[in-house]
Amino acid sequence: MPNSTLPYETAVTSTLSNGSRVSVTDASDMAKLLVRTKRQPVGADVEIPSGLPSQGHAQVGGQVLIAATRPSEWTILGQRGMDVADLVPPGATVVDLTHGRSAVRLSGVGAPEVLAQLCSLDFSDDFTPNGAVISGAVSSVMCDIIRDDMDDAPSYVLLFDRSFADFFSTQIVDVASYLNQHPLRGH
Amino acid sequence: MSPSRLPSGGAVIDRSRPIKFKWNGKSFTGFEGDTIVSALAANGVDVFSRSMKYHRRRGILTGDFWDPNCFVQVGDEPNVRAGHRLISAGIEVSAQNVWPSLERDVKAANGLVGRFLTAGFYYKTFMKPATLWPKYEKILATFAPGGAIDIESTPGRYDKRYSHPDVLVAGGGPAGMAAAIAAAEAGADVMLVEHNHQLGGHLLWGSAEDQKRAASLGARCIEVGVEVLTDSTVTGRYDGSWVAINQRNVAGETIERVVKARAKCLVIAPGLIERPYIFEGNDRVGVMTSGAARRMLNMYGIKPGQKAVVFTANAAGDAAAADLADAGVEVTTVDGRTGADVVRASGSGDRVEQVELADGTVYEADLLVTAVGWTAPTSLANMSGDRPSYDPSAARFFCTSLPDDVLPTGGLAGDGSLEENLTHASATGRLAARRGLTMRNQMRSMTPRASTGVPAPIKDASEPAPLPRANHPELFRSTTHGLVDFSEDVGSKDLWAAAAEGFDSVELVKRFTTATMGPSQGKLETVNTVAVLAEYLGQSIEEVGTTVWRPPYAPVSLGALAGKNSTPHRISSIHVWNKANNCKFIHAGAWLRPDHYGNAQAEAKNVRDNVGIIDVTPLGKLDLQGPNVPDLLELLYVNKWRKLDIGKVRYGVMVGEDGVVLDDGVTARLGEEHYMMTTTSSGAASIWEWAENWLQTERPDWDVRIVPVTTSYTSINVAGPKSRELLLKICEDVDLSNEAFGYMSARPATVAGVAESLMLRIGFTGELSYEVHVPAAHGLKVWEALLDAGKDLGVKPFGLEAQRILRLEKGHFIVGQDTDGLTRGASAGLGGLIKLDKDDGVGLPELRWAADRTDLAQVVSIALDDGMIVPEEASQLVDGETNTIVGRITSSRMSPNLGRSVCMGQVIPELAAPGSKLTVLLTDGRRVPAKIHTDHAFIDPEGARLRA
Repeated sequence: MPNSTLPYETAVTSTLSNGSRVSVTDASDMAKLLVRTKRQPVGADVEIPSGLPSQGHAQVGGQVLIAATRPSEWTILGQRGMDVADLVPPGATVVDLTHGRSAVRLSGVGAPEVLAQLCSLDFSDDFTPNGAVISGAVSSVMCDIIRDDMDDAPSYVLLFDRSFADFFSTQIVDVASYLNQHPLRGH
Repeated sequence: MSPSRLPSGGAVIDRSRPIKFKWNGKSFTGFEGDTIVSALAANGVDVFSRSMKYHRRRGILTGDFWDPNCFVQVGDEPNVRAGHRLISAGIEVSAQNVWPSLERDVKAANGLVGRFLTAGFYYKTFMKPATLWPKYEKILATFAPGGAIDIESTPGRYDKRYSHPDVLVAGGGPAGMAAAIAAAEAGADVMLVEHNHQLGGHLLWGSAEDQKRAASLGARCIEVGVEVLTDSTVTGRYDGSWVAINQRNVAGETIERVVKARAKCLVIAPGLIERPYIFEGNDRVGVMTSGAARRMLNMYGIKPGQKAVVFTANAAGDAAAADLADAGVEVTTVDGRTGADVVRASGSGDRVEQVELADGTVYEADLLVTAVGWTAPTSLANMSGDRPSYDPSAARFFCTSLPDDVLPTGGLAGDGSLEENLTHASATGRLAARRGLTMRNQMRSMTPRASTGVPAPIKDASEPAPLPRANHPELFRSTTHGLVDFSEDVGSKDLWAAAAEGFDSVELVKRFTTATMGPSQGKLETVNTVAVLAEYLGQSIEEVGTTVWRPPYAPVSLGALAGKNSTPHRISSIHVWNKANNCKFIHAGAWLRPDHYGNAQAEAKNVRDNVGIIDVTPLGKLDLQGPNVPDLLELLYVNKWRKLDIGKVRYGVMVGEDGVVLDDGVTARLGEEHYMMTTTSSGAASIWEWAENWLQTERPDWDVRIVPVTTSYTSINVAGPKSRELLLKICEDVDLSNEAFGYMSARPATVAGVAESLMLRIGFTGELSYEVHVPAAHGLKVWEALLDAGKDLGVKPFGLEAQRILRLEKGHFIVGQDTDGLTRGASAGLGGLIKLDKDDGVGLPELRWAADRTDLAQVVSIALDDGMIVPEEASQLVDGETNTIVGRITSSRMSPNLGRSVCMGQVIPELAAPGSKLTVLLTDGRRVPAKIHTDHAFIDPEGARLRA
C-alpha cells in the first residue's frame, strides 16, 4: 500500500492565520491517497464500497477525511504514515499523491465569500453543505473542494496540483485579506 | 442666467458635509451626495463639454448616467460620466478634448463647415490619393473625442464575484424594490441591482411624499434580507441565465467589480428613460429633459434656470413645471397634448435665449424643458430573446414574449398609478420567487452533493394582472431638424440623407451614421432614430423596427472586464534555485521553465563533453494500473505493447483518428499491472483526457485506472558521457552498469537519500542519460546534490534552449514544432515504429492508407552548404532557382558541437531522399543551397553514445 514516509516540504508560500472573518492555512502536510476501483459500466446501479462515501460526499469530522472525488475514485486525507488498509476496498488501487498535491484550508464565516470571488460554483448551504465534495476551477486552478466545517464555521479543504501552490496560495490569501476588511455582502 | 443652489432641498445631498474639488484648475465646493455636474451647476457652471464633431458647447441634457453632454476627465481617468460620478475631496476634474479652453475651443471651427461633415463623411473623403492617408490619419487623430489616458498611472484593483440568487431584480425603482421585497418575503434569495447611487428611481426626483416612499421601500428591502447593489448596472443576460453586473460602488480599494450571477429568475424593472425632442437648436445649453430639471431641483436643490419654457406632453412635464414654479422659476407651459409645438431654440454662445413655437410665438427663456415621452429600455428583454413591439397609442415599445424565467415590471410592463405599479411589481416578485425556488429545488435534486434537507416551501403565486397603458402623443421631431444622437453629433437631416443614399433600414442607418453607437448606447437615441427614419420612409415605427440591443447595457471599463491580474503559473520545486542562479525563464503553457542560464551554446557543449542536468518536471506522467493497460497502450500508440517486460521502457508515438501525429513519449512497465506513461509537456493534460475518453466511451469494459502524477515527481534529466559517473555518487540501491541498467530500462531508486524515486534510462539529447523522478517535495534537494557531487565532473544545469540544440543534433523531432496538423505517422520518419499489422489502434486505417501514399511531406534533417548560416524557422524551401515551394524549415540552430548549423524541415517526398538538393529562401531574400542530411541524426546516428 503506497503511503510515503518521506518528510514533507510544502510548496505553499502564503497563508493568513487568525483572519477576522476568514483564514487560510497550509494543509499540505497530510497523506493524500487516491483510491480507484474498477469503473462501473454506464447504466449500472452505482455500487459504493462499504465504508466509503457516495459521489459528491465526504466523511468528515474524524481523523481521516475520505472524499468521493470522482466516479469510482476516493481521496483519503489524514496523518502521514497512517494505516489505511482497512479503508481500501478489495481490488482497489492506491496511488500516493502526497507529494504531488498541495492543500490549503479556508476557514471562517467569510470563506464562502472568498470562493465566490474565485470560483463560479454555488457554495450556499443548500448546494454545498458540510461534507460536500466538488471539483472546480478556483482562481483558474482545478481543485477538489471538500467542505469540512470547523468550530461551527464553514471550512473548506482545497486540494490542487503542487505546481500551482505558489500562485494559488498567493491569490487566495490576497482575496481573503481583502475580504477580511471589505466583506462582499452589502456592498 | 446660470443655475444656482437653492437655500434648501436636495434629497441626496448632505449640506453639513462640504467637499472641495477642482474644475479646469479652479477650486469649487459641493456637498456630499453631489455629482460632478450638480456640484458644478450649483456653482453656476452650465457648460461641461464640447460636442464630438462640431465642438458646440454642451450643458445638462438628462443630468444622469446617460447624459451625453457631461463626459469629463477626472485625474488620469478619461470619459467619466459627470452626471453620475459623485464628487470626492480633492478630485481634479477637467473638460476633455478642448483647446485651448472649454469656453474658447478652436475646434468649434468645425461648425463653420458643418454642412460638409454629414453622415458618411469619413467613408467618402480622404480616400485619394491613398499615399496621403498617413497624413490624414494624423490630423484626424487630433479630432478624436474622449479624454486622455496616462499609461504610467498605477492600475487599480478590479475584481469579480459569482452569485447564485434565486431572483435577481434589475432596477431599484419603486417597482424593482417592491418585486424584490415580495420575492424575499416569499423565501427567495434576492439580489437587487440599481444603476444609480440610491434606491428609489423616479421617486427620488419626485415630491417629498415620493421620496419618503422610496426611503421606506429601501429600508424594507434591507429588513427582508435583499442583497442590494447600488451604483451597479446589469449589463447583460446570457445563455443559461448568466447575468453580468458591473458594480462600481465597491468598498475598499476595488474600483470596479464584475458580478457574474446565475439568476434562477430575472425580474426586469429598469424604469423608463426620457427621450429628448428633435428640433432646431435642441442641443443648446439650457435645453433639458423634465427628468433632468427635476433631478436638479429635487435631488440636489439646484435651480436650473430663471425663466423656463416647459414643453410638456405628459404628467412628468407637468410636474416639472410645477416644481420649477415652486422653486421661483418663471415658467411658461407649452402643452404638446393640444398640438402646440416647439420649433426652435436660439441664442448666442450656444445657449438658449429664445424659444420659438410653431405658431410663431417667441419666448425669452434661459431654460427649455421637454417632456415628450419615453424609451422603454428593453435591452435585457432583447437579450432574453424578445423582439419588443411598438404601441403607437402609448408611443413606446413593450415586451412581447419572454422566457418563463424573465419577468418585466414597472414602466416596461405598463403605466398606471404608483399603487398599481407596486401591486404589479409585488405580484411579479412573488411569481419570480416561485419560479426561482422551483428551479432551486430541481437543481438540488439533481446535485449529488446538495443538502438533502427539506426544501424551502414555495408560496403560491400567479401571473400579475396587466398594467394599463396610458395614451401618449407620438412626439419625436418637430417641423424643424435637430440632433438625434447628441453623443455622435448626428442630426435628423443626417438620417434623412443616409436614407436617401440607400441606407434605408434602421440597421444600415445606424452603422452609416453611427447614430445610437455613442456612450449613451441608444438609450436616448434609438426610438428617435427609428421615428425619423420612419417619417422619411413614410412607414410606421413598427414597420421600420428597431436595432437589437445587445450587451452591454451600459459601457463597461476595460479594467472591469480584465479583472484581477491572475494568470496562473506553474513552477517546479527547483524554481527557487533557478531564480537565484541566473536562469532566464520561458513560458511554456502555464509553466515557467528554464530557457537558459546565460549561454545555451555552452550548456549544450557541456552536455556532450561532460554532464548536464535539466529540470523536466512538466513532462507529462500518467500512472496506469489495471489488467488492460497493455490493451490501452496498444490502442493509443502506433507500435506494439503486449510484450514489454517489467523494468523496461518503450518509446511510442500517438496519432489521432486521422493518423496525424498527436504526441510521443515513453512508457515504463513498473509492475505486473502497473505502468508509467510519459507524454510531452504540452500533452500532459490532453493525453490524459484522450486516454480517458477512449476508456470511458469506447472501451468501458477495460479495467485501466489512470492517475496523472506529473507533479508528484520532480523530474531531472541527467545527460552526458559522465552522467553515470555522477549518479553513482548519489544513488544507493541501484546498479547503474550498462549490463544491469541498459538503455530503455526503468528502476526504482534512492537518489541523494530520497527513497521512492524512479529512474528511466532514456535520452532525448542523444547522450547517455537518465531521467530521475523523485518525490516532488525533494526535488530541490536532489538537484543540489547532483550539482554538488558533480563539481569535479563539470556538471552544469542546462535549459530548454540547450535541449533543443541537442535534440536537433540528434535528429529528434518535437511534436507540434517539426510536425503539424497534417503530419501523419508515415511522414514523421518513424520508419518501422508503426505496426500496421496490429489488430486495432487509433488511426490505424489512416496509417495504412497513408503508408501507400507517395505524396505526403516528410520530416527530414537538413544541412545548409554554408554551415555558418542558421535559417530562420519557417524559412521556405524551394526547388533550385525557381520559387516553387517544396517545404519549410521547422527547426534550426547553430550546433556548438559540430560548429555548423543543423536543421529539420518538411519537404515533398520527391526531395526527401538523403542527398537531395534544395534551396533555402532566407527571410532577407538570399537563396542558399542545402541538402537532405544522410540520417536524421547529425551526431551519433548509430546511437553508441546513448547506449554507452
